[in-house]
Amino acid sequence: MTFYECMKLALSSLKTNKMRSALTLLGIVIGIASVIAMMSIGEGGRRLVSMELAGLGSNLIFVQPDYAREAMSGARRKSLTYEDAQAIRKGCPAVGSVSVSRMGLVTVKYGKDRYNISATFTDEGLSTTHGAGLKEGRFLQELDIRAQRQVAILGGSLANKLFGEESAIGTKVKINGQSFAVVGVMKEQGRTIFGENPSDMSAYLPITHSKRMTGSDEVAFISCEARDMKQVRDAMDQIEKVLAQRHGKDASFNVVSSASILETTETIARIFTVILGGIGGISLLVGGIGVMNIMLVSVTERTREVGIRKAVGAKKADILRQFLFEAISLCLVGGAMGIVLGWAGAALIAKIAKWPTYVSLFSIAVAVISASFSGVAFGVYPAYKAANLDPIEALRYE
Amino acid sequence: MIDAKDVEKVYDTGVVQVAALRGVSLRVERGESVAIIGPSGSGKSTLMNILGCLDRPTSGSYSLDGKVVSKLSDDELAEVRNKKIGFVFQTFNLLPRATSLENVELPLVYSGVQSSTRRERALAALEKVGLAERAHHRPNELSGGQAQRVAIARALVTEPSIILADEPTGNLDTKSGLEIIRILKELHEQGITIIVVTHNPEIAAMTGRFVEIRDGLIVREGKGSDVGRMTAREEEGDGEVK
Ligand SMILES: Nc1ncnc2c1ncn2[C@@H]1O[C@H](COP(=O)(O)OP(=O)(O)O)[C@@H](O)[C@H]1O
Ligand SMILES: [Mg+2]
Repeated sequence: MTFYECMKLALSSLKTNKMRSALTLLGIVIGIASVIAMMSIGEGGRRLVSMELAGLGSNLIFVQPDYAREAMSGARRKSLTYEDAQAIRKGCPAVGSVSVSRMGLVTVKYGKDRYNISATFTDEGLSTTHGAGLKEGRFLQELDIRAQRQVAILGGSLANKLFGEESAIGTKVKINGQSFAVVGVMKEQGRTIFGENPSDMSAYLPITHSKRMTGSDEVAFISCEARDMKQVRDAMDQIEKVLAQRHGKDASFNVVSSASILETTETIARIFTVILGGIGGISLLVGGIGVMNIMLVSVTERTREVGIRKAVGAKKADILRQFLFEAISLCLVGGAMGIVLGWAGAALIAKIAKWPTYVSLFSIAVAVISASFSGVAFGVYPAYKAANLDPIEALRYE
Repeated sequence: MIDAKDVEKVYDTGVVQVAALRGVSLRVERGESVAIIGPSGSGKSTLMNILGCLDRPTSGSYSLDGKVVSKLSDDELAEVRNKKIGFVFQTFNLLPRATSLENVELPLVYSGVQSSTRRERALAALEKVGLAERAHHRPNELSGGQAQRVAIARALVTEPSIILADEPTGNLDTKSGLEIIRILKELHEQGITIIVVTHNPEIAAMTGRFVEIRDGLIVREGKGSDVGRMTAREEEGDGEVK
């Protein structure tokens, strides 16, 4: 029998019991669809995180205290401050720019409007990290920092709320009771998947105010940018040297590049996708057991048919192939429909849950492979049973 | 060409062992026609199944065309059934959802004949049994006699050297039965070896030779033309033979 004839035979057998085949098919359709949809959630998340990280640039270097090591060794905390950032600026030729910031809750007042916001205390590095983000006015300058000038840059929607259509530049606002001049306004970032972008309701203030306004000048991390990709390694070495000079040889700081962060994040996101796919796989397993169940029923019902076929010369392999083809065609047809349904499901999730789902070629390959694999896996036992029926017994079967 | 020696067959049902054949030796030469008669449950079908390579003897040997087949594997037996033997059953055993043509094609499917050739040969076989115009009917659209003719067409489509018929007229009325007998006789005249199990003395009388089985043993053999007289006498005696 040719492949085509086998396929035709399988499909015509499945057609004689339309309702039953359709219900069995449904199990596989749902199984494959959930694999596709679940993986699209994972893959969409991975792409989003990767894209945001990649948007930061690949020559970024982050410096932060090694909290884990400090916690374990009980060593006194080494804190990072604006001074460390300045030292890196001066002592590391491979570093192009440095940005440092600290968050703190402040109250902004203008007229009778009053907002509690999370302010970002930072320095002139803002112009390099948020270069394109300024709507009007200017960034912070080195002199603003050193002289502790009372100047502020407002987030887009904060400026909007305080001043409406009017320009905020040059106006004075009260921050924690002190008068600050607005020198710049940022563009509105718009919404993210997590809701309103918090930086839109923020304000940027010189970092030298932070000790007085928040009680500390310690920063969580310093981010540096190497002059170019090739100098990332050199820059990291120079940073470590500067920090060792300032805090002592056994100072514990983590100096990591954005490339390695991206890599770690991707790995975690991939594992996440696989786990999600596995959860979808459970329903595929249930569907596959349905196929096996129906194939076993079908073999029993068609015992006489098997007897007749064997009596006229069908070999074991012929019978095995016949039943296996039925199971595989069920799974492949179900798989194809499942891919379409899963794709639609992913689109629906994106629309309703606002999660950027992504149906990757990889997940489709996984679906096709697992559909055909489950056809073989769940079809082989019933087919084997049929193939090994004794012709005489099969012909006597009522 | 058929040479069965001391064939025994024991069915092990798990509870009891049934000795269906207890040492049967039978030779049939090419071109012969043989009737197997005997009461129900005497082992006729068991013998036919072994001769037709559907089953293996528990002991004893069976060779077909000089080749010992009693020890062949399942797949090798399937090939012998396919190439050398045409089997006609009492209950027709047609695939219910396939047309006459598809049923007749079936043995050719398993001997790897190409689909267009298959169709031609199946149609020719149907023509031989006078059913070409029923080629696209399904078994449930045929009378019993027509269904059995389709089964005969299926048996002869591979051009086998032997046709084994186990009570081919058992489920048919007299008229359709005679039609089947006429076809089998024609096939025999064309040189095919025919072995037929029957309760009908008229059919047995048309064969060249008869073999009578009782309780798994051959109890009598003779010329086909003698069978009617002998069974008639027997029926007067104890009435055991149907
Ligand atoms: N598959 C089987 N399992 C157990 N016993 C069987 C089986 N097939 C036949 N027999 C027994 O073997 C004996 C011969 O059966 P069979 O060859 O069918 O007789 P016949 O065809 O002459 O009527 C009977 O007693 C029957 O019950
Ligand atoms: Mg019988």
